[in-house]
Amino acid sequence: MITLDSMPPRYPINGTFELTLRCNLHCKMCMFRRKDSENTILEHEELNTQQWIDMARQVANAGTINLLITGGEPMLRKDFCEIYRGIYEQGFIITLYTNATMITEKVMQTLREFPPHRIGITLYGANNDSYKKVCGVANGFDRAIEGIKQLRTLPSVIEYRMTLIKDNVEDLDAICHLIEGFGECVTNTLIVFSPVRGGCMPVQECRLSAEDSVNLSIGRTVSKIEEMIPDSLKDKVRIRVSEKSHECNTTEEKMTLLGCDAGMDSYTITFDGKLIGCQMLGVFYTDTIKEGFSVAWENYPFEVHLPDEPEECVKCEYKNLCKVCPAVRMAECGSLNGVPKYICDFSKAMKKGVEG
Amino acid sequence: MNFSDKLFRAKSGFIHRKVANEDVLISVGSGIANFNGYILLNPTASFLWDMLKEPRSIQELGEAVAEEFEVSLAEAKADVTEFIHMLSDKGMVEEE
Ligand code: SF4
Repeated sequence: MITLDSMPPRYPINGTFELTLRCNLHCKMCMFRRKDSENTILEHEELNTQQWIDMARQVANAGTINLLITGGEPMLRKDFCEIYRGIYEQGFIITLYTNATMITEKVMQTLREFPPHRIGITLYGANNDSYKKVCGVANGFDRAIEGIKQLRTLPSVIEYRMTLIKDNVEDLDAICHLIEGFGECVTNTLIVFSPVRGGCMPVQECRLSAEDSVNLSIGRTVSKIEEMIPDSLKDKVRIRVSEKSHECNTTEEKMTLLGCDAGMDSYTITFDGKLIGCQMLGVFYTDTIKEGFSVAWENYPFEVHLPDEPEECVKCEYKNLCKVCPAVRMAECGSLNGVPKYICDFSKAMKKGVEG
Repeated sequence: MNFSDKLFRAKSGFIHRKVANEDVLISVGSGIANFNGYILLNPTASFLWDMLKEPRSIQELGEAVAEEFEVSLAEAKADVTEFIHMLSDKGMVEEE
């Protein structure tokens, strides 16, 4: 039996600093967003400027190289520029996630001097009406486009992402067109998880059904491939979607804590200084403020207590296509051994898509 | 290019750090437009990068490497020349 004593060395290579849970937008499908009435208390619990800079020093000493700075919306913090600069100066490969609607001249001055290696921009629609429906703000699209124009002047690599829900699915082509105009493409998120860690948004009401998501994804992939086939060959080629097994060519046993790299070579520091393996899963944590980062990292595995996988999953015929993990079980079922119907529906729709 | 009579210095725009017992150079600032990422350094490269904080000649670097790593001066100078060529190609050193 594998025990914690036989655990291979763990290095905290990939870190996430969640500077705040607060956000200027109110996206219906946000996993993390709390009620506005909680903002005062959330702000009060956030690590302060010096604590974040000190945390950056500690994680650099412990060996972190890739650092994601995220939120909420990190630029909502009044001290964003000071924190960002203090983190940057420690020397990391920095990725910054933002909704691009809060790019002030002060932010741009800081980013010009200390450009992130990557910027991940989340888009919510192709016009102000969609932003109003999805994020509850009137001129969100205009502000995001203005922000993007400025961020594109930086030497950073920019990635665009869009989470598709009922209110913005019609915008997908327009968004792709817009971003392709910048010579880039958009990554779509189709699986939208229920709120975690006290989040309050009505995710389940606004997300697409598993079947619609899968059909959309397969349909778009197939038509993209079709576009690449010359007309002369179109009637000779038949595109087939095939199943990629999770079990393919893995002969070695890899030790994990949560079934992935979380807690093994990656971690998140929450807005209030807790160390968690994955930003989605808050039930297992250590306290970096009491213990310091290195001890908190060393102790994290001892906090992880997972129940056995449910019988239904052990025997499941869709297992190879299934994206379930403890964080997803917790988000969807509120327990670590629940069987999330939304994810089962996804797996079944995938199987149908592959066979059909 | 004849390197032997020149002085070299590491350009700014890189942070030298330890990551999981390895030495790495991380590109930062506006230099990420040319090189966006990090480079792993072996012990000799790491030693040389630290020396290059000040302007140095190949001779000076070679002598330091020969002493630190107990290799012949000829071998050390050959390694140093190769390393400086590589840094120069990547725009990571400047000539004084
Ligand atoms: S979550 Fe559902 S689809 Fe996934 S393994 Fe369990 S029963 Fe199967």
